[in-house]
Amino acid sequence: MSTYNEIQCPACSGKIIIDTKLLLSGGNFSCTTMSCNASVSLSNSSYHVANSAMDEFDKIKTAAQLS
Amino acid sequence: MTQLLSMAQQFSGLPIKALIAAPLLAGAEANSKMALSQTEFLLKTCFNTSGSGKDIKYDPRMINMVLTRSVIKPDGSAGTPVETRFDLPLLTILPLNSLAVDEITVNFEMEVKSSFSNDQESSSETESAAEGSFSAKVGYGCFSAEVSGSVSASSKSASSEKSHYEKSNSAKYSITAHAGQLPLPEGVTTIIQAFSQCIAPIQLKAGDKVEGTVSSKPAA
Ligand SMILES: [Zn+2]
Repeated sequence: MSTYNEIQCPACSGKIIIDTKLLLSGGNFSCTTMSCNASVSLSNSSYHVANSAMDEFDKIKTAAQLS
Repeated sequence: MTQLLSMAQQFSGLPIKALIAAPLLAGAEANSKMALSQTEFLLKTCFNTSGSGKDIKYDPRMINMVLTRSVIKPDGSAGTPVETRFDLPLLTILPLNSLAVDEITVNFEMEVKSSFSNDQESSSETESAAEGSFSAKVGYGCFSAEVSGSVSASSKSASSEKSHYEKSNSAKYSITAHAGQLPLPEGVTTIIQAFSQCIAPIQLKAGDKVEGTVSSKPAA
């Protein structure tokens, strides 16, 4: 199952494709616009919030697959 | 003559509706359950609530992101990358629309073959023979005569008939039902888009101080 999500690049309004699992493991995601050299990563201060949300999300996903 | 069953008749006893609809309905039900649990999850995990009853207010829970931009100095050498922090709604990084039954394929194939063949062979032969004899005596006065003779006849006839009759019927009934994943509802997509479009960082001028928002100053 894909965990890809798309956000708008704050620098050029282009696309930044984010893999939530990789983001949580400290991944850095670059903007897809060739000329834009921006990249985003998750701030350490938000790791806990994002990680627990992803855990919750995995739980409902597993529950749905089991039913 | 034996009649072949029509194909429509052959299929009429099958609970085709149940055969095809049941797995699709199960998929739809699963999707509906997932949609409900996703909504609950969304409201519980991705929003902070305030107020109660009708006045309940949902504020998106934000996460802090680091935007890194590399810098090239006027002389062409690489400068220190600029880091900017911005807040992003938690909702936008969760792969919400991936929670759904992807595809349901019901492959139902039924083959009906009906065939009939008839071989008939008949032959007849008749033979008849007849034989007869006669004798007669005639006399008139002193004159008498005797006549005797015989007659015989025979006939023979033969006929043969061979026929072969074959009839076959075959039908294949194949159904492929496909239920694809539906995109996120328009409303949710709009909310996510609106949230993700409001993440443009605020550019600070030299000397501006906003605690915790800028980790390093952009290169001049
Ligand atoms: Zn960009």
